[in-house]
Amino acid sequence: MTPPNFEHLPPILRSYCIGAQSRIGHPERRRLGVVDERLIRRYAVAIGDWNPLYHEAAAARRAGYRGLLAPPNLLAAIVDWGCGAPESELAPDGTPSGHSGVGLRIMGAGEEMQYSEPLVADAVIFDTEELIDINVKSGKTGPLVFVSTSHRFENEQGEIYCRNIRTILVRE
Amino acid sequence: MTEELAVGDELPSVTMHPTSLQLFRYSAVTWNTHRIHYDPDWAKREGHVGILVHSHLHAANALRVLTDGLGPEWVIRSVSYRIVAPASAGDTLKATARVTGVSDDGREVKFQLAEVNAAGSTCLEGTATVRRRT
Repeated sequence: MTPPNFEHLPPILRSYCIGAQSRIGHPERRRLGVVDERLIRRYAVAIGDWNPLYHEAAAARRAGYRGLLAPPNLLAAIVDWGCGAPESELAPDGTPSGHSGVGLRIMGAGEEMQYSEPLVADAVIFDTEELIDINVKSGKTGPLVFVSTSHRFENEQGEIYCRNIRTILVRE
Repeated sequence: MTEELAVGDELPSVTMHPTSLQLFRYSAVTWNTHRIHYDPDWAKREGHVGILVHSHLHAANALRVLTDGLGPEWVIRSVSYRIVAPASAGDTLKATARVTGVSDDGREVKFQLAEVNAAGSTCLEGTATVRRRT
């Protein structure tokens, strides 16, 4: 991977990229918490999916799962597994401070996911997160920065549920 | 789905009509405080038409074509997708999946995924591989 050149970027975006660059190569493993039946059902309702595997534990067990099954991208979709910062500490766009930065616009751009073990209710999830790439491109309205972060979601025993590479688009 | 799949086959499409209420719920359950998903003024300030559909909600819509169309005998093994155009509350998002490859034993199938809005613009494009569980 060629180190990107941030020199031509506008100051706020350049500062963001330099900060992000310093996080490359520093994976962090943390306990996210329990995926319980309520979280699974609420996520399924939010995506409008009434698949019985996500709502009825008995249906999931009949299909051969140990418990209520989670929709495929539940783990990847949850932004904050904690309680969140006080509102006064959030960035103006509502994101956790340091996540985006004042004056930047961010949005999800894509993802790669590889699934291993099925995720069922009461799993305790650990995530190893690592910022792995910063890719600067030219857009019609200015530079586009694509930031990719890898996640390995697993349980305490190291059984992997899902490996993800998530990419966000950052621009001024 | 128990019958064999062949290259070119399409699963039944899934259409989502994201509302502001759905986007609120999705933000809430994923604890996503980003204003572009619930604050219309902020979304417009960032240059969007309205509050944005979350990228993961696009993906959930696309993956549902696989889970609904294939049933519990199959599992998703891998997915790759890009959001190529944003969508907002009030849009109509039709997701499709077309078979692009089948393993010799028929147990692993590759799909091309797409999600288009009512104007025919692609919002999500991607690929997925599924495998028969038993």
